[in-house]
Amino acid sequence: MTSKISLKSIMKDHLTHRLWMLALSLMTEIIAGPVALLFSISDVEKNEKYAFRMSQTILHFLSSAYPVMLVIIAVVGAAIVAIGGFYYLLQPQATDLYHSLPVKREKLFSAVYLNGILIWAVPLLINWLLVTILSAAFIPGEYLGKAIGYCFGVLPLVLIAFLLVYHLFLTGTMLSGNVLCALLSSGILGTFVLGCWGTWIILMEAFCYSFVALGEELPCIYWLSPLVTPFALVASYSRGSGWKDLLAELPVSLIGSILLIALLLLAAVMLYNRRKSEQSISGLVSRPAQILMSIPTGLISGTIIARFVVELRYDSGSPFWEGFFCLFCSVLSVFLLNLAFLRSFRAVFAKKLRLILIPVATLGIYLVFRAGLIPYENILPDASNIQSARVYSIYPFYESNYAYDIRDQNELERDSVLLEDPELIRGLCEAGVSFNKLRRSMGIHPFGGGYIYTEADAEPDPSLTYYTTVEIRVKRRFGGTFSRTYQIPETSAEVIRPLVESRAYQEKFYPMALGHKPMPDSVIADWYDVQGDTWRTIDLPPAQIDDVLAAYSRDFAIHHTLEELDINRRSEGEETSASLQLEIQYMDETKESYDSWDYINIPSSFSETRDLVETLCREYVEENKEYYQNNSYYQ
Amino acid sequence: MIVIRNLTKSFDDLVALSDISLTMEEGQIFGLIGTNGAGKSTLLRCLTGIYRPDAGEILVDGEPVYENPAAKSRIFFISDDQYFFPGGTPKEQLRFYRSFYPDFNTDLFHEMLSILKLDETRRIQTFSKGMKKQLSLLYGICSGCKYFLCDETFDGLDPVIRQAVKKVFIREVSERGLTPIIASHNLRELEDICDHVGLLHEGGILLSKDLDEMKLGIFKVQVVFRNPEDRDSILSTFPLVSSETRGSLQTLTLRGERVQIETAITALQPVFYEILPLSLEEIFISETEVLGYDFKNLA
Repeated sequence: MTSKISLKSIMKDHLTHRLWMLALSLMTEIIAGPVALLFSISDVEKNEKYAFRMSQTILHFLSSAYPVMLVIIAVVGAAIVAIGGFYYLLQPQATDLYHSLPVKREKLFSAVYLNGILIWAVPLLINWLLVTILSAAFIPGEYLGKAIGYCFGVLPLVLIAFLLVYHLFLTGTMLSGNVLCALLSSGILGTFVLGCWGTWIILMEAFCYSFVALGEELPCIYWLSPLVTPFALVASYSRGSGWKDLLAELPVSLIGSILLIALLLLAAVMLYNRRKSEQSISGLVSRPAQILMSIPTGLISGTIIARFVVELRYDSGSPFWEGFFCLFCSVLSVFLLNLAFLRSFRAVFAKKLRLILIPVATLGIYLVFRAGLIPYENILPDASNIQSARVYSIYPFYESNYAYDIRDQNELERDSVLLEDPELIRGLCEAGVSFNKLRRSMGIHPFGGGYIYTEADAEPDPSLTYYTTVEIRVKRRFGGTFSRTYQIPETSAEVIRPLVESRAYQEKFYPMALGHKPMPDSVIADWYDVQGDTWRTIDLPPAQIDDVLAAYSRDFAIHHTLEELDINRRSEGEETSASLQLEIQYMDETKESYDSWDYINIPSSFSETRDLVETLCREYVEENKEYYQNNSYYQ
Repeated sequence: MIVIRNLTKSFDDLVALSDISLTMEEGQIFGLIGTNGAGKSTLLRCLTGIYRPDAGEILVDGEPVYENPAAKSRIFFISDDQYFFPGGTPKEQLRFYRSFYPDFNTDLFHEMLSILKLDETRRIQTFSKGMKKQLSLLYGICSGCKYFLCDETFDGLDPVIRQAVKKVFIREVSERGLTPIIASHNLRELEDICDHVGLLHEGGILLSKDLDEMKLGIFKVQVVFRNPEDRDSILSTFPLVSSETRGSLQTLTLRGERVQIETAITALQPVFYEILPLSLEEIFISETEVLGYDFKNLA
């Protein structure tokens, strides 16, 4: 009699032997969901602001901690169910049993595949239901809609995260004959694009003066790295307003992820259908896969270790040691990886070509970068092809440190100034390129960095001391952009004068001076007391904040030339530039805590502001003399 | 009936089975013997549909076996190292098999379990090797399948259980037409039970014959000839499998019918002669010795 076993029956039977996975999934979901929610709202004080605080706590939980925890569970759970569910493929005895059964292998695959999803999804739904009910029960009515929105919004995000990683690990498992190879191949497949990109960034930043990673390629990198994508998606989701920001920031990543989910499933199914039963005693059978995985492993490990060696030294690096460690680590990583794949020293040593070619290629690539042989630095945009350019804050000519992570066009425009004079733009680029050439010709490498001294303890050579750092993004008439970061030497300062002294630039990068920022709730002065030869951090009296900022605006109105705005320039007679930075802080809606802040650098030419702050600081120090006398830090 | 035609199976550069053709009739007990690494286990796995052949075909009752649930439902395979679910009991394993083999005879299973004194609620991990083997055999016998493929069946079984297993096989063959296919090195056990024997060596099939027919076609003759030339006379008539000389006593393993050999020997009026049938083990050694697989060469 033919066995007409149903899919449901196979699933039930398979699940019977995987109950531990279900139990683990349920336990983690319950802890990460309803238990975590109840824990987070348990210490909300019952005072007059209870309702507001409760709503803020729940909304904060639902928009940040909750999706992060769910994604982590989804990623880890996906790996476990993929390898655990198909564990019979990784054990010869189990393979014999399952493949001898009177059932088609595709039915077995479907049963195990669906079980993997159910093992994760059912506990997730229980978690989600409980969290939704609890949120609705505790949150005040006016915030209920938002809470429900967050609850529903998190589900597709977590589903994408799970399916991406599940299919990745399925593919890795189908390529492999044991758990170690399944983990290794999945890990490499899931990160090698990001790893290669990261290596490229390391090499470019280490060996190119003018390289700037704007991060525009990041969305593509993310969705091509399925192990990283879930975390990138949830970071974007929980940082902003949920799906609105996610769709704005990473639409490519989302679409790419969905495509990759389908592609990986197709790959897993194809590999399963072609998989031979005897593969369960081997490592990684596919030779092309072995080679494809060895290449990025050798490249990334060799490059990173070589750079790490440089960081351990005080000088600008030694080509010999960098080359040695680059080669050694590349060989070692390729060897170890292939040992895991081939499971035999003899088999690994038989792959001489792989063991030699990949490390040599890695070393070659590294040396090409180190020798400055790539033409990146010398490329200039053709003046006739320049449409416009965006220039970002030019160090040291800005009010505060802008830390930005550019990902979209809106940010690009917000934190930059538009230039439309091709000659000015070209001039900026030329000054930067020629300074790079000068430094290279003197044997000064990008990784030396900072101010360059011709002799130990001597004054810096002005022709070698870079004056400003300009980040520029040129838009070409016929498509494409040209992005660089240039150091402009003091001797070429006239190139940037028209830019720094322009109204457009100053409006953008000196907002507090020009009254474009709201009055802060508090100001802290970080002041270098030349007399006491020490730093002091002092809260300015609230009543004086207006006076200080008014003095700052007046100083700016008078002293806004290139030289006067330079925060590194010393005043006449000063042995060192007296540093002063104001930390301005803004409170949140409740007026009980600070939720944003900024820093204002005060140039030495702003005498009224400096004098006023110094007076206030000395009064404060005098009032708290005993504290400063007893504090060893100030001795 | 299982028909194997031109079966070839390789693992990378290693040719495990090379152009094997074999027929296994229903209702007979087939013994698969062979040297170490001959390909017995590989052949059984190909028959079960675990391995996909590189060339050739395997038909079970006229149907190809690979990825064919209908054909595979007639086959039950127990390997030399059978898989049991971690932490599982015989009861749980039974439930598993019952879902795939609807003809599973649960009553017979429980009956035999109690005869063998195996506890169905005890974890299989705690069973000895022999007990696990017994359990595997029970599942196979009770599965209701027509073909029962066993790899190294008698390993680990005590003499009493071995006899019991043989009796059960014989009973099942006669009552419901079970066709056991047993791969084993234990030729003495196989000799007691098998009807048909296939001998594998280095991936190829050396012979596949009815056991009685095999024994009737090869004999060991211990003889002392009067004249040295008489030996050549015998050898020119009957193919020589192997020979050994100790002084004037010659031990010749000859292919041929007993009556004909005896007639030829007596015609030469030897000083002494005796004709002995060979055991399966001796046939195995003799046949493989011809191909150089000889303990004298290995020592």
